[in-house]
Amino acid sequence: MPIGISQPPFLVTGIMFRIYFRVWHKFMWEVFVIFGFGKSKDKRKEKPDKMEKNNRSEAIPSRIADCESLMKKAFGISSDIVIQAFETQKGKAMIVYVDGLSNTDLIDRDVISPLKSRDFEGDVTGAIQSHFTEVLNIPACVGQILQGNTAIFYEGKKKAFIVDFKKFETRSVDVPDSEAVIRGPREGFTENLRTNTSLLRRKIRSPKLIIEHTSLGRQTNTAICIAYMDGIVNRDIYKEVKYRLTKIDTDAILESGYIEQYIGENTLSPIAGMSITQKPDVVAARVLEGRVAIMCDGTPHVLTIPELFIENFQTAEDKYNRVLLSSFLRLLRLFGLFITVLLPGLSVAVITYNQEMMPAVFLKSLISSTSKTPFPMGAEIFLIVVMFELLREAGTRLPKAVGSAITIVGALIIGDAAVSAGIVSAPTVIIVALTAVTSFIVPSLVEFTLVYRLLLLLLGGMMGLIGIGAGLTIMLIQIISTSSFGVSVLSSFSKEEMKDSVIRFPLWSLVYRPISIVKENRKRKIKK
Amino acid sequence: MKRFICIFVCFPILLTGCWNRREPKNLSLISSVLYDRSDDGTYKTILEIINPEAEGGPVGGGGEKSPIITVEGEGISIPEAIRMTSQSLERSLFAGQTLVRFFTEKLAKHDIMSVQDYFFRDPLTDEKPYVVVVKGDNPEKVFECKLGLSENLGNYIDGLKVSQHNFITRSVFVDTLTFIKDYFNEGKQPVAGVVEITEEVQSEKNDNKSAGGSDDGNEKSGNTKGSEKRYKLIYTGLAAFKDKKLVGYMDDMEASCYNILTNNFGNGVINLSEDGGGNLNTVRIASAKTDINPSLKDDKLSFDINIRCSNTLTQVSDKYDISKSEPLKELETLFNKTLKEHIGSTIEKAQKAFKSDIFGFGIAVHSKYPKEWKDMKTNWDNAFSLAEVNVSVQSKITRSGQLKKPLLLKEDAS
Repeated sequence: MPIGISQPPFLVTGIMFRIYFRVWHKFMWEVFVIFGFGKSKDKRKEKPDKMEKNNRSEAIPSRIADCESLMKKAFGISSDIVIQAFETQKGKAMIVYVDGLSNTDLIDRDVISPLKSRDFEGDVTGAIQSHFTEVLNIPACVGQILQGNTAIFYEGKKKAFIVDFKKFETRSVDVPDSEAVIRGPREGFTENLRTNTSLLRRKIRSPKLIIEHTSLGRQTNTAICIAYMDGIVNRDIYKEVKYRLTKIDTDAILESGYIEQYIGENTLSPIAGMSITQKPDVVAARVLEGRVAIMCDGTPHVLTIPELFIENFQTAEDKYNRVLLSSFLRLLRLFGLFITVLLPGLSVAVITYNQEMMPAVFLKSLISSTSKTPFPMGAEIFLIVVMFELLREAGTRLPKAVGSAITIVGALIIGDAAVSAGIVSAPTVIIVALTAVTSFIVPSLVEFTLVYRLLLLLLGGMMGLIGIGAGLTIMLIQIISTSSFGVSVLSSFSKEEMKDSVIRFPLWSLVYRPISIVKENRKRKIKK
Repeated sequence: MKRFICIFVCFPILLTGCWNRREPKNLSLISSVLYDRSDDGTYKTILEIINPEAEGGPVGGGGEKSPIITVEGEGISIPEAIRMTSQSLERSLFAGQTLVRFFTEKLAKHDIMSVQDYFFRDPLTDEKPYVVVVKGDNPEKVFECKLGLSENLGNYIDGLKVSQHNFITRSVFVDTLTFIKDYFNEGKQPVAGVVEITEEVQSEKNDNKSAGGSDDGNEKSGNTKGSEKRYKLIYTGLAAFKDKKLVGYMDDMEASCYNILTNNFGNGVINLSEDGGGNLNTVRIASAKTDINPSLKDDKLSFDINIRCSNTLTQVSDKYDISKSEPLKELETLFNKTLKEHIGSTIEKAQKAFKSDIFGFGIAVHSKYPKEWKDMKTNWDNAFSLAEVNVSVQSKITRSGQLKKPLLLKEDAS
C-alpha cells in the first residue's frame, strides 16, 4: 500500500531536527550560560569609599565642645541636622537630632526640661524621662541619629545617650493597587518598615516569628528585616539568604528590587526566583510555609524566598475561597499563561504554515481580510504586539486621568482605524487583544511572558509549528533548570505538594507544608 | 566564544524555515476538483476555487461577485493538468481544504487508480476528500448546478453527507483514504459516490417572473433566465468498481441495502404495501445490524446474512390496528419480506452484473477460513459471483411514533 507518505517537508524537517539536536546538545550548556543559567557575573567588587575610611571608630570625647565640633564635622553643613548645646545646673549638655524625623515636643518635655530644671543634680541617666541606650563612639552615634533617634551628650560622660523619639510623615496603611482581592484583608504594606513588621506580627502572634534586623547600603543605611518562622524555616535557605545579604557591597539600597537583583542567581533569566507581594497576609502564609521574607525600609514590596513557579498562579484569595472556585481559578490562570505566551506565535505558525488545520470558513474570511493588508501575517502580529506594549507603557507612566485617555485613543482609534485603513487585518487585532488581556491574569510573570511571547512569535513565524516546538523546548528547559536558593522552581509538582499547586485540595487535606522548602516540622497537623 | 555560539544557534533558525511559508493572502482555496480524461489520453482538471471576496469580508462584499470561480487546466498527466491551471490563476493553489474530488465516468471507466498515487505523494493534495463519480456526458456542468443553500460544491456535498445520514441514507460518501484501503483490501472492492446531473425543467414564464421577483438582487438568476439551461445535481446511489475500473451503478434503494450490508446505515424509510397499491405503510429503520457468516462445504461457498433491524412506524394505513399485537406482527413480517427482497436483488446485482465484491464478503471469509482464503483470494471475485447467499431479516417495531392507532382506523361502534 502506498500509504507511507514521505513528503519533502517531512524529510527536511527530520534533517533540521537532527541538526538542531546536534548543535543543541553540544552547546546547550554554553547557551544556558548566555541565557543566564550559569554563574552570574560578580561585578560587585568596588573599592570602599573614602568616607568609610575616615569614619574610623572614634571615641566620644569628654568635653562637649569637642563633641560639638566632631558632630559638625560629621554632618557638614546639612541644614536639617539640629546640634544644640546648652547649659544645665551642673554642666554642659548637647542634643543632636534630624529635624523632621524626631518628635521635638517629646525632646523638649522628656530631655531638655528635666536637664534644665533647677532640681537637676548631675544625674543624667536619672533625668532622661525615656528609655535610652548608650553608644561610645562617633560613627555609631551618627548612625543612630540618621535613623531618626536623638543623641544626648553630657559633659564628662564620654558616651552618648540615644533616645527613640522618631516621628515622621508616612503613608497610611492602604489597599495595594496591584493585588486587589474580593475576599480577604485589604491592607497592604507601606513604606515604613516598622509599620510593615507590625502588620506581619499582627498576623502571626507567635514568639517563633523572628524578625531580624540589619542594615544595608553604605550611604543609604537602609533598614532591612528578615522575617521567618523559627523551627519551620529551611535553615540552609536562611543561612544562604543571610550570607548573600552580607555579600552585598553597594552604597544604595532604595527598594527591595535592589536586594532582589543583588542576591538573585538568575540574572538574565526571566524567572526571578523571588516572589514579591504587598500584602501582609500573603507574606504570613509564605513565611508559615517555611519561606524567608525580606522587608526593606522605604518600600511596600516584600520579597519572599524561595519562589516556586506555581506561586505565580496562587493568590491570597485561593485559600479564602472554597475549593471548587479556587481550583477553577488556578486552572484558568494556567490557561491564561498559555494563551498569553503561545497565542501570537501559534497563530502565526498555523496561519502561515498549516492552513489545513483551520476551519475552511475561517480561512476564507482570513484570506479576504488579509488580502487587503500589505504586511505578512507575522509582521502584522509583531507590529500590534509592539504597539500594545507601547500603549501599556504610556498608560502606566502618564498621570491617571491622561493615562486612561491615551489607552482609549490607542486601543479604540488606532486599533479600529488600522483595520479599516487596511494596515492590519481584523484577526490580528483579535489575537493580540486576547493576548494582551490574558497577560494581566498572571501579572507576576510579566517578564517571562514578554520574553517568551516574542521568542515564540519569532520562531513560529520562521519555522511554523516546528519553531513553536523548539521555543517551548527552550522555555521548558529554562524553567526546569531554574532554581531559587537551591530549590528548583518546578519542585512543587511532587505528590504531596500537588495538593496545593494546579488545583487546591481542601484545607484539611493539606497536611504537609511544601516539602521542597520545609525540611523540619513538615506537618501542619499535630493530632492524628 | 559566546558570540560564536550565539551565531551558531541563530544559523539553523535563520537558514531553515521559509521553504513552506504560505501567506494566507496568496492562497486560492480549492473547494472541489473535477478530473476528466479525454479519448486521446490527455487529462483535464477543473478546479472550483472559493472566492473569499464574495461575502463575509470585513469591508464591502456584496452579492455581485460569484462565491466561486472555476479554472481549467489540461495536460498529459493529472499533476501537469492541475499545475497548468496557474496559467490563468494568480494565487497559489491550496488543496488542504478540498472536500470533494469528482471523477468523470470516462476516467473512472478507464482507470481510476492511475491518478491515486499522485494524491498521496504530492504535498499539495491529501487523502481527505470524497471520491465521487459524475454520471453523464457533460460532467463539467457539475459546477453550474444549483447548490441548495451552500456557496460551493465542496460544502454542498459535505452538507449532503450529514443531511442524508440523518434522513435517508441512499448514497455513499467515501473519502479517498477509504477508497484506497478498499482497493488494496483483497476481500473488498471499492465504491464511490455518484452525482447525476439533470437538466432542470424550464418552468413557465409566469413562474420565472414570480421567482425572479421574490429573489431580488440576484442578477445571475435574472440573466440566465431563458437564455441558459439550468442544471440540478442529484447525489444518490453508488458507483461500483472492480479492480481499477468502474463497472456499474446502483440505484438509491440498492445503495441503501449496500449501507445496511456494510453496517453503515444511517437512517431511512422503507415502504411496505401488500398489494402494491393502496394501504401504504412506511417504516423508518432506526438501526440495522448485519452479520455475514460464510460457510464452506465441499468447496461450495455460501453466505448466511442475518440482518437485525429495529424500526419505527412513520405511516400506517387503516388496515393495521397496531394497538393489537397480531397486526403488528403482520407488519413486521411484511417488512422482513420486503427488505429481504431488496437485499437479495442488491447482492444479486453485485454478483451477476458487476462480478465485484463491493460488500466485503471476502473479509468475512478471510477471517473465518484463513487457510482456504489463500487459494481463494486470487480468484475471489469469481468465487463471490458464484456463491450462494441466504438472507434472513429479523425486525422489531419498537416505536409507533406519536400515534397509537392509525388515524383513519374506523373503530367499531361497540
